[in-house]
Amino acid sequence: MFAQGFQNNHAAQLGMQFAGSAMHAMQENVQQNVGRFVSLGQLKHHFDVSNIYVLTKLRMLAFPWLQRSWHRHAERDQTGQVVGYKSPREDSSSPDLYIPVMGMVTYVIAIGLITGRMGVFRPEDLGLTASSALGVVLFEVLLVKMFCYLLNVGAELQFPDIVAYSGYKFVPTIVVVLLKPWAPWWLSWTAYFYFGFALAFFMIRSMRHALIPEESSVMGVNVHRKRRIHFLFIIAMTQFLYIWILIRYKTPAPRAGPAP
Amino acid sequence: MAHSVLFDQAQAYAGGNPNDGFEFYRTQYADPSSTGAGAGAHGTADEFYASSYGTAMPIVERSWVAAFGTGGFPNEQPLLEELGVNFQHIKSKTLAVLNPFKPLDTKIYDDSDMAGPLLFILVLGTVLLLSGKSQFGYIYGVALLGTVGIWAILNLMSQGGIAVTRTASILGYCLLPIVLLGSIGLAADLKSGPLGTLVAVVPISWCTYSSATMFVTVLSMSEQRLLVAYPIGLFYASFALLTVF
Repeated sequence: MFAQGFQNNHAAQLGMQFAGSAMHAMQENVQQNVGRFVSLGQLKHHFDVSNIYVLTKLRMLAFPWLQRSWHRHAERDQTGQVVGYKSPREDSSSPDLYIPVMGMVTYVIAIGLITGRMGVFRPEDLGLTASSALGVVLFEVLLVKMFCYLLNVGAELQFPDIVAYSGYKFVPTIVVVLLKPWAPWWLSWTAYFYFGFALAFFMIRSMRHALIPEESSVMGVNVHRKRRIHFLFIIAMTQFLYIWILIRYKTPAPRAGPAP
Repeated sequence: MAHSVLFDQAQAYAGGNPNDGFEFYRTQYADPSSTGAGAGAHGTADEFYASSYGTAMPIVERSWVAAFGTGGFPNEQPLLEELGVNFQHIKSKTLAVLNPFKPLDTKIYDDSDMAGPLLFILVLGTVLLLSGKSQFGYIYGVALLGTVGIWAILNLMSQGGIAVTRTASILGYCLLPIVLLGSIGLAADLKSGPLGTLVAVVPISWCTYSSATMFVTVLSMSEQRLLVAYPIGLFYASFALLTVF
């Protein structure tokens, strides 16, 4: 019913056109800026998982020495050119984003469960835990990105892959944090160190092919092989620090009551 | 006559006046004594609008009392139909959640109505209020964030997509067992002791099973059932956390 008014009022028409073009420009801006980091196709590629893949990946995180082949298979198009990596459904060594995202949410709920059983649950703690988990991931991703820039690692290590590798730590963290309140202290410390080393091993083996090229493929480009090995080692060892930060939760004030 | 800066027109409409687009500001109708004088001019306004808008309601002469009842205007839809509330569908969807083992009729999920879910969320909030926790805001926040998250995950994992209103509707209807858990929490103390945690597992799995079945049917992702069920389970687990602790 406003159409009649709009058609005959030129000021209103100009206003509508301006609003339309402003929306369009805004959308393009967002697409450009966000599209530089991730694209929808890439995201979908990382969520294309199957049951077998999830089980295999969890086994790789818990018992990495059982895994024989860590090599990521390349996707080839009709002419035989390499156009990327195979999706997680077809390649168990490919990083995905499903497990990290589920891991983070499960971690937040596990912390909620623990604080609830201790009687100190407050709903805003869910948000606080999620924020600190996100902060740890963000810190690690930025650190790895900085190292990649300093060591001239370009397209070998993509941004969603970095986020994925950073998110895998939530799986061992959940196990350790669920053991911590209810298992004897030696068991939880053993689990912490065991899963820490397993995660470090997993990270080193997974990222090795991306970061440290084979001797034969180096062609005159200075790749600082030793520095990259050190960088990989640092990434793996800082996982201990991240897990230690993540397994802290609020405990009730000491009082003379039965233990939960 | 009400003046409006943007839309004050110098041109004359066929039989109408410049403010015909603003029924709310039709001040001359407020005075029933003007009906006789205005009837002639506004009769043609009816035809003008009826012709330009097809099935639009003709602007008719009524006293202001007509706004407070039904049947005041011709061609008016019944109130519930206009609001999109279909009690038959709500009842069948609720029964589908309560009896998840019966085969589903997916056509009833095409109208993604939010009346049922909103009702369930309000009942959950009321039940929690009765047990001493005024957490309406947290329920709203978790529901919103969780729905958007599940919508994003389902769109990324499936071939076809799903609209956000539809996921909200399905997730909301399957919230019913958590409401039942809350009402159990009114009678028994779920917080302390392992009873609360164990009892909560049943409603969570019930919600997850019915919700995942609906999503898998709607999106035809039958080989990824467990992968779809896990994030939905986490969503209902967070509701259970709010309810139990």
